[in-house]
Amino acid sequence: MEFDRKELRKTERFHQIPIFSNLTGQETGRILRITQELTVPAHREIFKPGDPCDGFYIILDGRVDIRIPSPGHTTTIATLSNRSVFGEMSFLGKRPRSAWATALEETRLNKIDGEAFQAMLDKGDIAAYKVIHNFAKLIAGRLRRVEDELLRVLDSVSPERRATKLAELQEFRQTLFRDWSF
Amino acid sequence: MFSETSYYFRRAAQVMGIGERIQRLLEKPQRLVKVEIVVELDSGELGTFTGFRVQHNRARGPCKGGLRYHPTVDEDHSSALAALMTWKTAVVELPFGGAKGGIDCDPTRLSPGEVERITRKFVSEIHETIGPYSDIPAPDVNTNAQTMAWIMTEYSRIHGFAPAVVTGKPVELHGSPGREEATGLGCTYIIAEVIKRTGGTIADKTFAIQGFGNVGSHLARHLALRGGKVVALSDVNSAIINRQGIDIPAVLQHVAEHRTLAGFPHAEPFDRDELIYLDVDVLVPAALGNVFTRENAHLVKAKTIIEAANAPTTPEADEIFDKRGVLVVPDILANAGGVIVSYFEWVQNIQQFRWELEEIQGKLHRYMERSFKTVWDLARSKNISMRTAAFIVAIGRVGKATVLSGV
Repeated sequence: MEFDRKELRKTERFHQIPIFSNLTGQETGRILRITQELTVPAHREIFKPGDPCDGFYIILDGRVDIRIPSPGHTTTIATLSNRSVFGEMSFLGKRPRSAWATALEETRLNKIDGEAFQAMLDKGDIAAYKVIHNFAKLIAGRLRRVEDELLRVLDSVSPERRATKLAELQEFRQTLFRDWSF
Repeated sequence: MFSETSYYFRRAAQVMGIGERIQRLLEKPQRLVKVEIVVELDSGELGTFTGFRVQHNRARGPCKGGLRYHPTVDEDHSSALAALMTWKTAVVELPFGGAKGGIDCDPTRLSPGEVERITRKFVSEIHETIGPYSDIPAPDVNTNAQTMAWIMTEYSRIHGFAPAVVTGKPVELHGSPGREEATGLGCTYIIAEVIKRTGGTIADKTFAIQGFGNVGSHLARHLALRGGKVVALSDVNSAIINRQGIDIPAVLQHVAEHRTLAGFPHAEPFDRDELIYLDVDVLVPAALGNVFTRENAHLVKAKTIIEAANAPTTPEADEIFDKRGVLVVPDILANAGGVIVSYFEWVQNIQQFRWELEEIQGKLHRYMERSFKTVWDLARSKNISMRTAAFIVAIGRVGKATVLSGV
């Protein structure tokens, strides 16, 4: 009985993770079966560029720093906390790891086994496909933010684009006060 | 929901001839705050929740918008709803920008004590973001006057007495008279304005209202007070019809006793899905979103639709109504009564002077009447729908404030 309640709590906690939020109880159960919980001490490296990809991770409690190599040094691209997912890019792209993932403090993680997850996909398990769909949404949001950032950078470095932007603003101002008074 | 706001925004922006860059600038939220809320649950375990507050646009004043407690609350959802609030406050000319936020929790599975602790902890995390002159939350899905009272007291504990930090508070704790009926009464004023222009009076029209909660019930009451014939009503699990007109005071009494429309003796029960197809003069969706779709919009017989609910019409249905000449008063105008009286509550709190109900109703009437006239006249003069006109008025006001304050 006590065990059941523990399992139930585990399932409920799992549901609060965005990439699992729309899974039914049974589907969650199937994902939980290929999930391993682990605790990483502070400052321990979870993976580094070039490591083979063996799955993806969800942060249950703690913080993880994601860094990528850049000329001469490394750059932090994200600091992730509870319920964030990482390691999915190399899993989806079927490539080795491209970043460092390091625990900033003692961190509890769920690791989803890559091979077992792939097996679920191969079998056509709807649970795995729901997760993939959620990944797609996550990545679409990320792409949109990158596009916005790119536009901003382009506008700031190119005098021509800056001029166009100013002209557009000027025109906006004129249109508003000329054509749209109410 | 949020793809719809974005669709209507872009459609209006194109009519105005606004470039892509400016569209992006106006659509993007200005500030997004995300906090972790850790509280002790009744079981002794630690619960972790994520809270959000998105401020979409501050050009016209402090941000205003609801706080919802729901598992679907996230960044994207809050951002889209915050944008909708920017357009809504602008179309009725309140000196506010738009905001939205909430906590990704399921309050049906939390005790009142847990909800209170989560609320207070949330305030302690975002007290520098909200404030009477920066961002003023209000009730939304799964939050109410009690929640607002907790926010006010927690915020005041940190910053000193500050009732104007939230609206929708209990009347006994710096709330405003007339706040509860505001959306329904505002809709009534809008209906009166429509009928003034299309001919007749409320007393010789028939009405069907989908939803008999806070909005639907007050709307029905005010229509009946003006002699309107409400022939059909529905709630979550039942619907009633009486072609001679439903006795609204009697049905309000029945619902107060039985908590449902079902079993009301002086009307016939009927299939609640059929309500939107009734042959009535005015149809009012006052419950859910996505009521009118590509599949059913051409079957609607009413010639006037008042969107008391948020987003009841999908973009495809909107095009169909437009082609068929059905007059749709859009949500951002039709249901703005709530946020207008919220504004009055804020004003009363700021000046520490309480208004009488008559004063509030009179002012609400003038705000709705004036906003409706602006949108109606623009729609007529440019030959566009009321929805596009409402968005143009809103975008125009926000745009002007933005360029005047310097981008």
